[in-house]
Amino acid sequence: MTGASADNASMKRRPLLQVERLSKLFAVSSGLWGKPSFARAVDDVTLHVRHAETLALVGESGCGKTTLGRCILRLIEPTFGRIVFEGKDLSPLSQRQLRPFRKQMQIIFQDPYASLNPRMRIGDIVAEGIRIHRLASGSEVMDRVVAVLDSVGLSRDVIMRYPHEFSAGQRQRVGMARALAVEPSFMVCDEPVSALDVSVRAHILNLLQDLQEKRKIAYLFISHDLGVVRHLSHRTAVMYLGKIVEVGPTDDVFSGPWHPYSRALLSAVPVADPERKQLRMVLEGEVPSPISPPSGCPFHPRCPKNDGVDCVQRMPPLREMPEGVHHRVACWHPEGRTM
Amino acid sequence: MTTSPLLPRLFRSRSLILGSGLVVLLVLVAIVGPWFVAHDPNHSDFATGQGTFGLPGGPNRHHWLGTDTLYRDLLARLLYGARISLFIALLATTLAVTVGTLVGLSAGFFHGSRLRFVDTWLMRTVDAGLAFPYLLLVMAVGAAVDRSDTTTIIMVLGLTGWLGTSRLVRAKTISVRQLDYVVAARALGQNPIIIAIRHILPNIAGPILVTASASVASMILAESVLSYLSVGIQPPTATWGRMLREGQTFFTAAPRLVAAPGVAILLAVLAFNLMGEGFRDTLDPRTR
Repeated sequence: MTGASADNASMKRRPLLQVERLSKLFAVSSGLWGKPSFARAVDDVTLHVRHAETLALVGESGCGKTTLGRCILRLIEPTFGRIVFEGKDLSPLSQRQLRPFRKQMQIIFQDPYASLNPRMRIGDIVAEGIRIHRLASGSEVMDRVVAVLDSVGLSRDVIMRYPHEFSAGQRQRVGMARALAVEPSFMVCDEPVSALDVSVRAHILNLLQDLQEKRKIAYLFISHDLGVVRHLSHRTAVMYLGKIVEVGPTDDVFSGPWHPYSRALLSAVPVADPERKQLRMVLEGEVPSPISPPSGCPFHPRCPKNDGVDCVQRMPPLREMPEGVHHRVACWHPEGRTM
Repeated sequence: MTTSPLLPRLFRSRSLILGSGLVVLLVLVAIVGPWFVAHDPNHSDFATGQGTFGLPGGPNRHHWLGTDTLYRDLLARLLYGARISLFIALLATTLAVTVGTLVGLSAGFFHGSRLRFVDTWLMRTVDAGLAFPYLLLVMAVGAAVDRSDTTTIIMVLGLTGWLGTSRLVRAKTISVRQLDYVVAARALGQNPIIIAIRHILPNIAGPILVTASASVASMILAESVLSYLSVGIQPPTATWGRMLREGQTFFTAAPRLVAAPGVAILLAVLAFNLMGEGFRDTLDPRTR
C-alpha cells in the first residue's frame, strides 16, 4: 500500500467532526443580589459524525438539542469542551479565524418564515455565502446561484423575488440553497421539516437524502419526529436533559434500545398496524429543570429501574453494549431486550 | 406576517394620508410662502401697521393677519418662522435619529456578547438622560451652552433627543438579532458590521421611521419652548415659539398674536404625529 492511499484510508476512518466533553452553561440571573445560578443546557456531550453520514439527535423539547447544534457551529459559545473538525480543533479559534471553516459547516432551520431576511431578494440571500467566501466573481456568482437553486428544485426566475412570495416548503428550499451554496461537508439540520405540511415534508426529506448522496454531506439531524429519524439517519443519539444517554446505529437503537428513557421515547412512536399490540411505557413526572438537575443519573427520578444507590449518586458513563456495534448507553442497569 | 405590497397598504391608512398631506403642505408653505408676502418679517410698518392707541394693528388690506407689537407683519413672521421652526425640527430629528440608531444598534449588538459592558454603559447613560423630563433637559443644556445660533439649537435639540430612539432601536435589534436569518448570516461568516447594516437595520427601519415622525413634532415643541424662554433663536428672527412669547403680553388686546403661532405649532405637531401613527399602523400590523 502506498503512503498516499494509507493517508486516504486514515482520512476515511477519522470522523469528520468530533465533539468532546462539550458543555454549555447559561447564567440565570436571580434578582439583584441573588447568586447567579446556571442552567446546564448541554452537559458533557461527546459524539462524532462521520463523512457523509446522518447522525440524528432526538429528545424532548428543551433537552438541549438545538443548543448543542449551535454550539458545534460556534453560533453559541460553548462553556467547556472541544470541537474538532477534520482534525482541526475549532474551540480556541476566534470568530474571525473561524471564517474559513464556516463554508464547510452550515445550518438549516426549523422555521421557514424566520430563516429568510424579508428585505432581501432570493438571489442575494443565496449569493451571500458565495460572496463572503469569494467562491465566484462577477457574473459567475449568479451562475452559481442558479445552479444551486436548481439542485434544490427551484427555477432561475425566483432570483429577483422576495421571500414573502413563497410557500413554507419553497422557503425551506431557499434556506437549503443558501447553506449549500458554499458547498459544506457538514450541515446541522435543526428540525428542518417540523414546521412543514406532511406532503411537503416528504419532498424536503428526499431532497436532503439526494443531496447527501450527490455531495457527500454529513448531517447532524435534530428532530423529535422519530419516524423521520428512523427513515433518514444512519446513527441516532438520544438526549435527555443536556446529556447523551444512548447512541448507536439507528436500526439497533430503534429495535433494541438499552436505556430506559430511549425505551419510553420509542414506545411513544405510533405503529401503523392496528393488529399489533403496543406496549406503551408511560413515564411519570415532568422533565426536571436544567437549573437544578437531579444528582447522579439525570433520569433517575422518573426511571423504573432506579436502584436508589448508584443511580442517585453517580452519573453513569457512556458504555459500549455487548450486542451491536458501537452502541453505547449511559445507564447503570441497561436492559437489552428487543421491543 | 402579512406582506402584501407596501405602497397600496400605505394609502389605506387615513391618518397617514391626512398627516403626510399636512406635512407636505406645511413644508411647501415654509419653502414657497415667504416669496408671496410683500413684507419683510423684521420691518416695523408705522404707516399702515398701527392700530388704535398704538396697539398692534388688526388685519387690513396691507397686513392680512395684522401686525405684532412692533408693527411687523404677522403673516410674514409666521411664514418665515415656519422656515426656521421646521428646518430646525427636521435637522434636529435627523441628528437625533442618527445618533439614537447608532447607539441603539451598537448596544443591541453587544448585548449578551463578550463586550456586553458597551451595552451596559450606553444604556445606563441613556437611563440617566431619560431620568430628566425632556423639555427640562433641553432647557438646562440650552441655558448651559449659552449660545443661540441655529446650529447650536439644532445640536442641543438633536443631542438630547436621541435617548428614546436608542432604547427603541436597541430593543428591536435584540429581537431581530436572534432571528434565524441573522443566525444564518453568522453561520456563513458574514462580517458583523454588514450583518447590522444589511440584515438588522432594514428590518427595524419601520419603527425608526415612526419615532422619527413623532420626534419632529416634539422637536417643534422643544424649539418653541426654548424660544419662549429666550434661550432659543435670538430676536429679531421669527420663530413660532418667539412669536408666542412676544404676543403673550398683548393676549387680551390682540389674541391673534398668540393664536397664529399657536395654531401653526398645533398643526405641525398634529401633522407629524398623524404621519407617525400612520406609518406605525401600516408598517407594523400587530399594533392595529
